[in-house]
Order: sequence, then structure tokens, then C-alpha cells
Amino acid sequence: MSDARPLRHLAGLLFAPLLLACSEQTVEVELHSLQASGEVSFVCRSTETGRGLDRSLCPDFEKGQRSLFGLVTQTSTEEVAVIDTFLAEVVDIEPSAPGYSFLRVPARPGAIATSPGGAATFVAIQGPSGKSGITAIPTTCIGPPKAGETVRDVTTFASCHLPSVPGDITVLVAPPQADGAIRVSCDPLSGVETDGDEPIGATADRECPADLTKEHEDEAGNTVGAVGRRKLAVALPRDHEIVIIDAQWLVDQTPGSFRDCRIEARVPLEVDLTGAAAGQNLDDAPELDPKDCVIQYPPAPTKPSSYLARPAGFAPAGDLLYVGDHNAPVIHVLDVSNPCAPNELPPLLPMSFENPNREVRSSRVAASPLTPEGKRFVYAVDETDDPSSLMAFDVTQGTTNRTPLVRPNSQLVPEPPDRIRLGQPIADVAFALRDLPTTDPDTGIAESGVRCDPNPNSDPNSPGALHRPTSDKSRGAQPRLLRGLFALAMLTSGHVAIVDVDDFDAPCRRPVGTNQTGSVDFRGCSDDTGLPEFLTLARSQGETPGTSPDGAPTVTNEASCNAVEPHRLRSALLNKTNPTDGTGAPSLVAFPEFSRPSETSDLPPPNQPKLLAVPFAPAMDGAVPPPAQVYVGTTLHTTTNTTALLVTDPNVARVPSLTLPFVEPRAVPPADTVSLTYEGAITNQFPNGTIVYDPDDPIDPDMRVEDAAAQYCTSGVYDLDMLGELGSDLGVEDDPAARELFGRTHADVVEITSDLLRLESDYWLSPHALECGINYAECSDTFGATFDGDETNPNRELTILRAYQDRLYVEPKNVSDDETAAREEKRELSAKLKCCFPEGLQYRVHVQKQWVLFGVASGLRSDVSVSSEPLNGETHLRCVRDCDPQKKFYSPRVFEITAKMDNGVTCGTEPGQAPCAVGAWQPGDACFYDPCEGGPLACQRTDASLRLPGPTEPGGPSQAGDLDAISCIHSGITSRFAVYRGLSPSERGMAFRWQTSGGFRSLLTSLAAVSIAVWPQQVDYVPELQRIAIVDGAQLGLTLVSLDSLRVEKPWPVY
Amino acid sequence: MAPRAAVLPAFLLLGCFPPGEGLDPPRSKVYFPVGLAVDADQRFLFVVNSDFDLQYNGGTVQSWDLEQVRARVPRYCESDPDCVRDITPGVRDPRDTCSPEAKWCVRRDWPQPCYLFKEQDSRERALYPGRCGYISQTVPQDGGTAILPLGGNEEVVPGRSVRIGAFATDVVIRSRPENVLGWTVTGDAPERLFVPVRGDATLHWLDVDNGMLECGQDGTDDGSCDGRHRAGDSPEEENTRNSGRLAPEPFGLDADENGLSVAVSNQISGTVSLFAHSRKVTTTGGVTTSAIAWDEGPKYMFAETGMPDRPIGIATVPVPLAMPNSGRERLPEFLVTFRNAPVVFLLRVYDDAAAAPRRPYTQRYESERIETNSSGIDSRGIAVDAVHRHAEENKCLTDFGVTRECALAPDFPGCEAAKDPLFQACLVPASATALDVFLANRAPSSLVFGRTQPIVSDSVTTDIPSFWSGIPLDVGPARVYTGDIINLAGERERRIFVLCFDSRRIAIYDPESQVLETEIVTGRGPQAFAMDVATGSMNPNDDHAFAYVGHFLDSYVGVVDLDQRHGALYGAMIATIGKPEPPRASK
Repeated sequence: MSDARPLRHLAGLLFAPLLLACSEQTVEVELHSLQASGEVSFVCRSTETGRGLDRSLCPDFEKGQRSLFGLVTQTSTEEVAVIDTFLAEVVDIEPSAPGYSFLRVPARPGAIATSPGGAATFVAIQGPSGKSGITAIPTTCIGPPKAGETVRDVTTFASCHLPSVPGDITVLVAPPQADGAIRVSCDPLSGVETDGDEPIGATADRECPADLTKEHEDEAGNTVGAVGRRKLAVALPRDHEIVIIDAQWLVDQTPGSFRDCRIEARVPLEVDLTGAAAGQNLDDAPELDPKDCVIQYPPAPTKPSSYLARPAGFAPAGDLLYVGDHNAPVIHVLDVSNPCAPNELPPLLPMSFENPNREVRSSRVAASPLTPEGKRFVYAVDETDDPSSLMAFDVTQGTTNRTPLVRPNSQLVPEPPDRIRLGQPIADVAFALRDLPTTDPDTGIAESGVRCDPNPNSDPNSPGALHRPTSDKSRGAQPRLLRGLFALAMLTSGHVAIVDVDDFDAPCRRPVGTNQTGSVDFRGCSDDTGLPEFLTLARSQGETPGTSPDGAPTVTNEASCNAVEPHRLRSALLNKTNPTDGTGAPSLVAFPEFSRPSETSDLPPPNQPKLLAVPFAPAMDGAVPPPAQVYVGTTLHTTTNTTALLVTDPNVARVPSLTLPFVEPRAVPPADTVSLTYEGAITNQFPNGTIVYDPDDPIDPDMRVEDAAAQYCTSGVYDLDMLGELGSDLGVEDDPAARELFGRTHADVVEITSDLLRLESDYWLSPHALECGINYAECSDTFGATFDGDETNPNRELTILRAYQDRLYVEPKNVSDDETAAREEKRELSAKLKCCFPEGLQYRVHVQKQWVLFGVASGLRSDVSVSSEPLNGETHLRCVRDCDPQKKFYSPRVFEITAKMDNGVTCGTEPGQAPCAVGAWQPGDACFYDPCEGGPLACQRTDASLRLPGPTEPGGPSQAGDLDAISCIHSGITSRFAVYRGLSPSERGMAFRWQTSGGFRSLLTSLAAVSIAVWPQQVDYVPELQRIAIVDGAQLGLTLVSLDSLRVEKPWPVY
Repeated sequence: MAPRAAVLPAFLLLGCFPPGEGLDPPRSKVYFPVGLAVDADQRFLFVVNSDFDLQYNGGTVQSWDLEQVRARVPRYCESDPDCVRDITPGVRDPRDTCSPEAKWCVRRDWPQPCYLFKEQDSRERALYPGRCGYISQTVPQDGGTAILPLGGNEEVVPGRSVRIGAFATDVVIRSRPENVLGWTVTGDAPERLFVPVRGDATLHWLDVDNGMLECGQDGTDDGSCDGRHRAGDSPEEENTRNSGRLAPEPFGLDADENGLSVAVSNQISGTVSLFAHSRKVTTTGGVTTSAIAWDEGPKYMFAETGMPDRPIGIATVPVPLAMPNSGRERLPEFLVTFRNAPVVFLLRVYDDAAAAPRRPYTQRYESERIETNSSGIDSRGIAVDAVHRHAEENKCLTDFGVTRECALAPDFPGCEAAKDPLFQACLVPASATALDVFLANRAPSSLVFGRTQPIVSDSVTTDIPSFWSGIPLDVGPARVYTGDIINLAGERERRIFVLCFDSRRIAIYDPESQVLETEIVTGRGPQAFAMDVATGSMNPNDDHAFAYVGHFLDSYVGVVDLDQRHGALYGAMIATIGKPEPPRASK
């Protein structure tokens, strides 16, 4: 492949004159010297001596005597490219040759690691037997040869051969022994570094010397790095072990040689699953405890009784080395304080909260630097997830939990409680720790790790207060100001998402109002002990800070206290909505619109169903329910704002409304189009059902629709039993008959959408049809020849009695009320259905006498699970209501609230009647209230808005509220509202539609802005430059992205 | 892409021969090979030649004797004893010796390792990798038995080479199914080849028995497959659902495991076509017979349209053994890749049992976006690897003493043990083992890894993969195959092979270590691939692992050594069969 580059250049030269001749415009042809890049390692190098240095010494902005170079593996050409990060250009190793030349290695390069002091870089080379090993590249030779030196080629560097293909590598430091001696090998009888001569690899006769024994010193001889012998730790996945090789030994080998590596220690990796069955720690999310709920998980592959380890990515952290495993559900933890005798500790235990039966394996891992509080986290890529996701482990010293962290608020975020998922596979992860310290005016010292202090009573010049957001947003806490510890999750799409781990400014990212209680309020705030009521400065001299909501805020005044959450994606925007900031908090684009399937007749507002906002749930029993409020555009509509009034009384409201919860910003998609449809479809149209009906079948005589591909439960289909349970939850009388009535009233319905076979079809003369005794005309008369979506033939509707994942037991819906007649009608219709629709049946399932909520972005949240159940001698998956606490807010079904007045008052819109616009309760309805509270002559209730239990003002008397209605309030993770029945019955197809904006947008940087064809391979953080390094395996080579701009800016990428 | 691009337009200008005109294709010659297949007993290699430059009026399918191929492929050795072998049982051939230089056995009377096959010079080696010159498949230079035997008139033995239409694109081979849940199988052809042919937009099917090909060629004037063996062009006889004939430009294909359903991609129309063997239920005298007409061959049944443009690769999804005990035959599934969309579709075949007549059809069931790289478009080959699932299922089969055939058809006589609930309980988690899926993707050039997360119940399964990672490849990945090599311990070990047409490479990926192990340097246009691996022989020296590579542009078959015990020969082209001939356009 290396030969191709000069040709490409040549081609460019040949065509250039032609282009000039034919076009007046100059066409710039970009040539790429880097292709199929793999990984990068950074090395600090003296520009004068060429010697490698500790990275902390780079870059040298003042004198330019030290530069940071990126060594990028080229996997298809078996080379390592060198990139000068200061000049942002590829270093041409052989300028006399056309095109760019790189450092050649003997086989395909894999992992790459540089010794801590920068003396040499080690490349794992991967080939078939005999060609696998490690190559050492002394830093002195990562540039072009000087005069008199030989051309750099594969013989320039020493390599050694490994028994199998190497995986990841890293360089460890074996500290001096107790007597201060540093032995040259792990053999305790070996010589001591300081006793011997200069290492062979550092002798003057070498063109490329490298002395790792002195790399802890700077050029003046000062100790700047860790003292000790450098050891390579190399994973051998096929041999299930990690081997230790002396780094200087390899450097000392004859350039161009490829003898067997001298392995000084072997660490056969164990897979110790002790304690793995204990499950995950729910201390941070007790609400997820399933308690009595037995959750049915899908069948999982057979788990082996034991595992062979297959080491994946490395993550060194202090004296520990974390090692992912491609084969076993562990992350190995090795104590490498003595690399000559690594000690494997109990592993981390990757597992899935969502599906504990799933075997979780990890590829890349990263260990964070220590936070100011001394905490450390390990992130690992779960390569078996779909798509691959991130797990976070708390590995702080003293922590006993070895399982992925389960985060609070997980019921509200559409993501597994223990995973960071981005919709696309995560390829790699790294950590970035950065601070922008402010100077303490008292001490003159700039202290790192100072947290933003929102308390308005604090000294405004204290370091913490200096991190408060300024009104012009030029300084202080902001989404795009990264101060703290963050994870960088690189997606295969070329995006790198920022994950909050420990944002130093998090205390200042919140609303101004505080909540002193331990109960979470509607903004997600709680436990604000020690803070005043408001996080605002005094409006005037003499006023106590923190007493008024109108003072200058000391915080960002976002809509939620969860704007920043540890181990969750970082928001790209402030979670606030106003004309200045735009819509960063969930907002309606406009109030919802009501529509009917047919507008032929007028339907006055009182007769229409009403979608209306309701108060937020109080933080705790006895607390005041926060009044409804919602942003429409950038205007906050409330129940008291006369210029932007939110009308929630169904008797007078003319504009549909709802609220968008503030508590969890990540619950809401950035933009969504939502519909709430009466008797709407809960499934897509299925293309291939089969009607099975044989009343003479002694085993299964009942009619059913079978469809092996349907997955009805997953789609959210309910059957009568489930509706009975739901009715109970909604407050339907605890009586079998009442439950049955509720279930029958609201049962899901199969609607057949197939057309009949054409009249000329062979079928109508087939033995099957003749046996049925039907013909085209009869079928057409009964079911209609074609499906009419506007006016469904009632014979095409089947009530769902029992639902399974692959079959629905049904009966015709359109039958007489008389039980005896109905039985015969059902039988006749069932037989006809089977005979009239012999082919793959097209159909869908819709709900009945209820509304169904669907969002284009948020989807239809199903609260249906499956349970294994015997059926006719087989085991089938029965649809059941999901008791999993994670699904608490997942229901797409909304039931109308009706009016039920027991006092004899007649309400209505006729003259003389009370102005009631809520339709009357009917048998089978679940929710009702009295919107009139009629006295003997007229309605007494001035505001028919639903009332929640609790006081109307702090400390006031508690009211009972409309208890029989509030169970029908829809309280999902993206919306909260109630639907009141209109004075006319709702019609199928009626719908409310609305659009939202201001949902959560994660903070990203992306290579996709440069090219759509990217193949990111590695992400790393370069603290010396405060930049994110991204290696692209397609054509973009190496890119360094500033942590400030998070944009790919010229001259990057370098390719 | 460059070599192919240069050739294509020139050929297209030539146009097509009307039927009956033009030169008959030479039956013995390798000519733009596009497909290779090895029979179940590994006795024959079937070579599909496409006549891509339309020099002739059709292509051919040839049946090569693999024993004769293996007899001429260099035999690795360390020393002379490695070269001693039985020529007949109990009689050792003393004539071979180990060439220390070449590391393979040579005849003692040969002056140098290649001898009769001629040592290639460096120029030749650059074009046709390998040390020695070509081996003639019809008249081997060593005078021994031919790989493709000629009859008395210097023509290929009838039945060892038959004529097909021009522009064949691929081939798959399937054995006659023995047990099919609830069905008897009529016809006795033990194996069958399926070949899509672009020239007449048909699916050719050829029966194979002991290396002899039969496609009705004796009944045609020109010795080509007859109309009955060219499915897809008789809508009135075949397609009874959505009328019409097979869409133009059939390209990729795969057949389900029992060969009863065949899916063919039509690369210019966004269509995937279904061919299926007819099923007939007849009642005579109160006795109902359910039969699959294997003897009638596949009929064109259905065209799945409305998909993204340019479907290319197709791979069948293996049947999970946990399914059949429900009494229902499991629906065949196919995964489809596209050039113009970063997506893989899962098509499911429905038997349409309730219809009269029964008319199988496909339905797009699920799809998955390819998001392991930023664009994900231009997907070519796809391969499904069930080795882990089969291993888990085999444990259940072994523990309960059930054969795979019985597990697939528990109602078959003698298969009662397959209905044991404990056996089924063992199979459910075993069948839930993920399948590995591999895609050759060109934007950017890469091998994409996917994994299914099956849902298994008595009647429901889904094997749509999610794509989780990948590795960059050389330019022009086209087809991808799974297969075994022999490792240093003499055991089989899984590998993934990706043919990179443009860069003349075949990447060998080790899924266990997750590294690209090495690349086979091939001649120009590696397009067809088949494997021939045997382990567990009485004499370990008789174990072998070869890959056969059809070189599209120079029209020959290369042989690659895939035995890691052979040191530097591993992954190297060690023999060339058929005289390489550059395409006319390049002369």
C-alpha cells in the first residue's frame, strides 16, 4: 500500500494542468497520507536532542524546545505515522521519497503505548503465527534521519516475537526495591540498573538510542517522573493471560531483530464470579427495587459453568490495572504495584439491570483520574448491548460495590438505569479532567477542584463564588464550560459525547428556588439544607440575600435541579426557556390542536373532549400541589399569569393544554410531534395474521389470530384480564362484574384491514372455499370488499379476550346483546372470517373508548411484558401488565374523566343550566368527579379544574381533592394532563396533536462536520493541550478538538 | 474498483448474443469465475464461469475432482518422513521427499520444487501469486488423472461440465433435506446447485449426484440447462402471486439450510425474489399426503419490492433448534444488504398455508441500521456464523441423544426423544445464543460486526443483528465468508474471510482474538471462494485446510493453504489451477 501514495501524488500532478486549462476555478484536491489509522500514543520530544521526555514537560510554548508528537498506527500499511501536534502536520520520515513516509513495523500494528518518560513507544504487531510481537520505537528516531544516518525502515527498530497475537499493551513502572535497588529484570538475582553500564539500547553506536532507565529525569537531570524499571504489560487474548516484558530489554535488542520476547512474568487471568449473583446496588435508586414484582426476562443463552478470560482493553489507574474481557462477564482488576508479580484482585462484575440474564462483556475500559474528593470511576464499553453502551463503576478506595452504578431518576429517563446509551454504538471511552482555577484573593493561590458556590450569603470574592455564572454568560457555570471530570464517549458515527462525572460547577446549575425538604419537588430539587429560600442576591442594599426570587441569581436559574447529573449525558444547552436563551427547557411549540376525523358537522366546544393541564404532583403528602405551568414558545403560561393564562377549567377552557414535566430534562426528546388519538391504533398494521377457528377442535376450539411475527405484548396489546387489573388501579369498583364491564368496555380490538381476494381469484372456486360454503358476494356483503379506513365495517372488528406474544384469542364484536343470539352470531361470523380471508391477513389493533398517546420521537411507551404460561400443552408467552418499576410512567392509554353528579343538579349548556362541559359518566367508565358541586339550584364550583389532595397554600388545611378522577390523570415522563369527556361522545379518530421543543440535547463534538465517511477508532484526552484526540480509521487520521470550542477547527484534522 | 470498472463498460458495449448464436463456451475452461462450491463430502468443487465479456454465448458450471486437486497441491513438510503417504491402503509411496527450500514434498526425480508446473518469474508471481505455474485441470502436466476429466473426443466428460446462461453471478449448494417437519420429500437428487444468471434473468438449478451435473442438458440442442431448470422466466407456470417474471439483474443469493427456499437479490430494482419448492397436500381415500416437490425444483414465487435500491448480499439465518417442537415449521429468514442504504433487512418467508393454492411469499420483518461507521452505505457481502449457537445446541443433542435432523422434525419416525420436554428446555437457552453476522462494507472499506439477540419462544424468534463494531479493510471489500482454518494444535479454528476485489486481498479475521490476522495476497479480482477443510484423519498429515479462490479477471482458481502448522505457507497462494488468461480488454 505504501507504493500507492506516490502514485496518488503523481496523479494529482498530472491532472492539475488539465484542470487549470479547463476550468477557471482552482480545484483543491485533498490528498490523504493517513489511511486506516488505528490508535495514537503521544510522546514529548526534545527538538534539540530528539530525546523523549515526560509529557508534563510538553509543550514548550516559550522556546519551542519541546514538542508533543502523536504516533498513529497505520493498520493497512503496517506503519506508524508521526504527527507534530504543534505544527499540526504529518512528519515525513523520508523526505527524499515522494509522498509521506512513515515508520515501518514488521506486521499490522495494533495497540500502541509510550513509556511514561517518553523514551520509547511500543507497538503491538499482529500477524499470523510467527509474525506477532512487539516493536520498540525509540523517540530519538521518530523523525527523519539526520545526515549520515540510514533510511528508517523495518530494520531500524527491534521487535520481539510473542507466542500469540497481542491485544492491548501498557507500560508499567516497577518501583525500586526496599533498598532502593532497581533490578534490570524481574529475576531477583538479576543485576541492578545503577551497577551496570549504559543500557545497550542507549549506547552511542545506536542511531536510535533509548534509555528508559533515565527517562524519569528531565534534560537537566531533575526527577520529574516515576522512578523505576519500565515493564510492558501485554495482553495475549488467545492465551488468556497478560505477560510482562522488560521494556529496556526490548529496546536493547539488535535493530531489525525479531527474536522471542523474554517474558518475565505471566498473569493467567481468572474469571472469579463470586458474588456476581448478588445483583446490583440500589442505594441510589431504591425506587427501582422490584419488591414483589417478578420480572420475566427473555430466554438467555446457556451460561457456561466457567469462562476463559480473553483480555480486552487496558485502563491503568495508579497501582491498579483494569482489563476488559471479550469473553467473560468480568473486568479484571490487577494490582500492578509490583509489575513483576501482578496480583489479580476480585474483578468488577459487569451486568445488566435491564436483563440480568444477559451476559455482559466489555471491550474498552477507562479509569478516571481522582476527583477532588478522591473518588475514581471506571467506565467500560458493554459490547454486548444493543447498541453498545457504557457502564460506570465506582472504584473509589473502600467501595465494595463491584457492579455497574444504578443511577437515580432512572424511572424518568428512557435509558437503562445502569447504562449510558446514545442510540449508536460506543466505540471507545476516555476521561478528561480539567479545571480553570480562580485565584483566592486572600491567599493568592489558585486552588484546583473548587466547586461553584451558589449561596448568596457567601463571600462574593471567594473562589467558589467566582465560578458563579455571570449575567452575560461570559464566565462561570455553563453547559459548554467544562470544568471538572467528564467522560468522553466516542460513537461509531464520529461523535464524541460528553458525560458528566463530576462537574465542579454543578451546584450552580439549577433553579433559584430551593427545597429544604428531603422530598423531591416537581423541579427535581430536594435537600437544599443550608441554602436560603432563593439563590439570589439582594435586590437592594439592606435586603437579605436569598429572600426574593427577583434578585440577580447566583445560579443559572434552569428549570430543573437535574440539569447536571453524574454519569449521565451532559446537556448542550441551559435547561431554561426565555426570549434570550431560547427554548432549553421543555416547551410546547404551540398549544395542542384538536381535530376530528370528519368535520362535516359542527361540534361546539362544550361538546368536544378537553385536553387540559393539571397541577404537578406535590413533593410529599401534605405539600401544596404546584400549579400547572408550561412554556409555549418562550412564554411561561401559568394559572395566574393574566397575560399568559393557562386555563385548566374544563367548563370554560377553549384551548387544549398540558404540562411538560421539568424534573428530568433527559426524559424529553429535543423535538417531538405527539398525538393523542381516541380509539387510536396501538400497533402498526400487521401484514400476515392467520385466523384459526375450528369449533370442533377438542383442544383449542376458540377463534384466534395467529401471527408468529407480531409480538403483540411488545407492541402493548392488552387483554381482558389486564384491563381488569388496570380498572382496579383506576379505581373501578372491586367487584368482578364491574371489572368485567370495564374490561369489555375498553377491550382492545383487532381491526381487519385486508381487502377480499379479487372476484376473479382462483380461491373462490377452490375446494377450501367450497367446503366453507361461502362465495365472494357473501363475503363482500358481510365484510366489504375493501377496507374503508373512514368507515370501518363493524364485522371486521374482533374483541381481544386473551393476548399472547404470538396469538390473540378474539371474538366478533358486532353481535347482538342477547346472549343466546350472540353466541350463534359469533360462531357464524367467526367461520366466515376464516373462510373469507384465507390469505395472510392484514390487520391492526386499536384501543377502545380511551385515548392512545404516541410521539414520533418518544414512540409509544408500552407497559406490557410477557409471562410464560402453559397453553394446550405448549408454553406460550402471555401478555401481562409490566410491574417493573422502571415502567411506572410507561402507559400510552389515557382514560377520560367524566362528570358524575349525585345531587340532582342538571348541568349543561342549555339556558338556565349550569355551565358544565364535562360529559356524563357511563357504566364501564373509571374516572369521574363533580365539576359543578351543585347546590340545590345551581352549580357552586367556580373552577372545575381537577383538584389534587393537599392544601392550597403552605400550611393551609388539606383538601381531599377529586379523588375519583385523579387516577385518570396521565402522568408520563414527557407530559402530564387530563382528558375530560365532552358533552358529545368522543369519536374514533379524534385527536389532539402538539409539538414540543427544548428537550434534551447532549453536548457533542463530531468528526462528521468534516466528513460523512468516518470510522473513529480511539478517543483520548491530551491534558497538556486540553484537547480531545480522535483517531479516524477512514481518512481523517488524527484530530485534536479543543475542550473549549468542541469543534473541529483548522488545521485539524491532520491526515 | 478500478480493474473491474475498466472492464465493465467495454463488455456492455458488445451487447448480448441472441439465443443460438455466437460461440459455445469451452466446457473445460475457467472463464470469469464467479462462484465456487464444495459438495458435502468434499469430493467435488463446482466452478461457475460467467462468460463476463460475452465472448461466448453462455457460461458453464464445471465439476472438478477435489481428490485430484489435493493430489497436486504442494504438501507441506518438515522432513522426508512427512512426505511418506499411503498411495493405496497399506502401501507407502516412497518417491516423495521434502524440499528444505520450499517446505513441501516433491518427487525424488524432480529437479526442483515446481518442476513440471514451471517456476514463475517475479513478474508472473506479481500477477499470479504463488511459486509455481498453473496446473492444467484437464491435462495435468504430471500426466495423472485430470481434475476435470476429458472424454474420448477431447471434450469434457458429459455431466462434468454443463452450459448455462451468460453472466452467472454466484452459486450455493444444498443437500436434499431428509426430515422436514410434517412433510415427505419427493425426488432423490442428493445435492443441488443454485445459480443466478443475469443474462436471461433466471435462477438455474442443477442436480448433483456423485459429481455429475444434471439440468436437463441432454434434452437441449446446445447442451445447456433446459427451461425447467431455469426458474423465474415462466410467470404463468411459476409465479402465482404478484404476476411477472424474475426482475432483471439477479445477483446475490442464498438458500435456507434445507434448500427449500432460495432468495435472490436483484441489484438494480430494489427487489429480492423468492424461489421455493412447491408443497402439495393431497387427500386420497381419506389419507392426506403432504409432500415437498424436491424433484420439481424451485419455482419463482414472489418478489419483495419497495426496499432500498440495490440489494446485494443475502444470507440465510440458521434455524434455531428450539423452534420445531411447537409443531410448526420455523419460517426461513434471510438477511439482505444494500449498496444504497446503510441498513440490513430481515426477510421472512411465509408458507401461506391457508391459501389455495399455497403460495409462499416473503415479508420484510425487521431492519437494522448500520451505524458502526458514519455512513454505513455500500454494503456488499454478508455472512452469518452460527458456530457458537450450534455448539450450545450440540451439547443438548449429545446429552439427550437426539440427532439434529430429529430436532428439526420431532414428528419424524424414531425421533420421539426430540419431544422430551427436558430436551426442549435445554434447547431454548441454547438457541438463544447469539449469531455473529459479518458485513463487507465499502463506505468506508470495512468488515462490520453484528450480533443477533434472538427472542425464542415456541413460535417466535427473531434474528435481526445489531451492528456493534468493525475494522478497517483494504480497498474494495466485496464478499465475506466464514470457515475454519487449522491451528498450530491441529484443531479447527474459526475465521472470517473477506474478499477485497479491488486490492487483491483476502483479509483473514480472527473473531476469537478480534484481530485481523493476515491478508492473503491474491491475483487480480478475487471473486469466488470455497473452503475444503478436513481434520481428524487417521494420519494427521492427511488433514488439510485449503481455500479455493476464483480469480475473476484472469480466469483461474487459486489454492490457499490455511493450515497454521505450515508456517510461512499459511495464508499463501500455493497453487494455480487453470491457465490464467487476462481479460481481452486488458491485452
